[in-house]
Amino acid sequence: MTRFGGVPAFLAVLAFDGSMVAAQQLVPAVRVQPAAAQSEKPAQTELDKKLADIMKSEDTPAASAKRLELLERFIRDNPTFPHLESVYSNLLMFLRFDGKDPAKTLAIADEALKRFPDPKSSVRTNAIAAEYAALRTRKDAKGIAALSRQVLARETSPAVLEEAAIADEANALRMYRKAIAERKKNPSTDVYAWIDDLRWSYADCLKDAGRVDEALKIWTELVDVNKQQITTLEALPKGDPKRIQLSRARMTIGNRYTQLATFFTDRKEYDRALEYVKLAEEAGGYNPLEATASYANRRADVYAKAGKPDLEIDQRIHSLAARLDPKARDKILPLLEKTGTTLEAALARAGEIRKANAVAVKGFELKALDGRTVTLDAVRSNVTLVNFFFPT
Amino acid sequence: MVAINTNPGQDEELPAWREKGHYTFPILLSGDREFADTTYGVFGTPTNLVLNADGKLVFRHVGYRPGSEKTVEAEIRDLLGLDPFAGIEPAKTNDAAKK
Repeated sequence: MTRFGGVPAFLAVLAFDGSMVAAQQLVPAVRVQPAAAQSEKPAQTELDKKLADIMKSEDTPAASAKRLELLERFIRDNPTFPHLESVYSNLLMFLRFDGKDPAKTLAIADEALKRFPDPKSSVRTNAIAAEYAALRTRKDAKGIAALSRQVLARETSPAVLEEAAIADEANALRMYRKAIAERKKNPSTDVYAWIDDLRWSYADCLKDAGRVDEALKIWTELVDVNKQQITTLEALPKGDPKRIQLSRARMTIGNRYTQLATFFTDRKEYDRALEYVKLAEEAGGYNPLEATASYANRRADVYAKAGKPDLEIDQRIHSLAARLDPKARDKILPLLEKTGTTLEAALARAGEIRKANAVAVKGFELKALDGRTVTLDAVRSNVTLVNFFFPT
Repeated sequence: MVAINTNPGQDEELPAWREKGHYTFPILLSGDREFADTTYGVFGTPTNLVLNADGKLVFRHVGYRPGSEKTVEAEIRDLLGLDPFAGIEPAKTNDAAKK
């Protein structure tokens, strides 16, 4: 337990779980084979393991530099590795975040684009994003314009075009228009990027270009589409596999309401902004307490812009009550003097809210590792931490 | 503190896992995959529920990001009647850094 010095022993479980999750997210296409398959393809499994080891490196500058070197060598040494596309993707992503060697980044990106000419290849998104980043590091405006011309002429993947739109503001509207047109040719909902998301971002660019009415029209339309989707999904019988999409639809509409709240805050239409925060909250997240903390903070942000410290601190205290996050406390500190209150009073108020909002939970009766039967009531004490995990 | 394994398929790995981490808290078996979700709305791991002395839920935390443990620790300290943020200095903002 020395690894997490200062943190109580039981909390280390979380950190351990979490770091594993992070490592898995980076290598989506590379999975360690199940035991049965190992004997059949020993060479490939060895390479998979080697790659997983390289990817697991720490986040120190020295370890990151080493990882870049090892990934590049891996590509050179294993030209027939079946998941080479994903190795390139990861290498390009790391080069992009590292940002120290634009020449190498451009060379590797060029190599990847030539090696995987299929416009649908997932590596192209990372390659194009890395090229834009490298050109930006060099402050090469001409290079960026030239790259955008190439992308517009050559690329047909909506994901690539979206990446280019994000990277090159000057050409964003054209990129999004092409992305939307290409996406319309393939109506499948399994392919990234979704057409509604592309249209939403396109409207965002319209707004930046001062075409606010056009932007609002598209946004309103997309919110209506979302609402319709939720109504349809909700009408499905419980247990219908399609209902899984419901939480995503709710999250999407929640995000959209939140963005509209920010839009109206910027336009100093604070009441309208607050209406959208409320709609976002009502759309429903899957974690009520986290959601309460975040929407209270959003409301507080609106009040901050509106210059209403009393209402702002009230929302900050609600956020703190939902989640005792040191950052939430830090946001209260600068408001104390302005509102004539103390931290102790704010914490006491948060405590009252917490007590009022605490909800009863169901009990359980489960088998323990040693064979005993354990109930929630039996293990409960002044404070009980119930941790759900799986061993990693 | 109790820990509940949400993946019954891995039950047999638990003794070694406990040994490796030197964990001393009770480890319970959920029995079936749906248990955590249907009983407590747990859709991902790690999920932590913090219950107060009345057995009521005051905090739920899903996933792990660096710093998550600070929040869980603060929740527990608060319920024990201690200062939840003892020893945690306010983070320096850009304004403060400029001064």
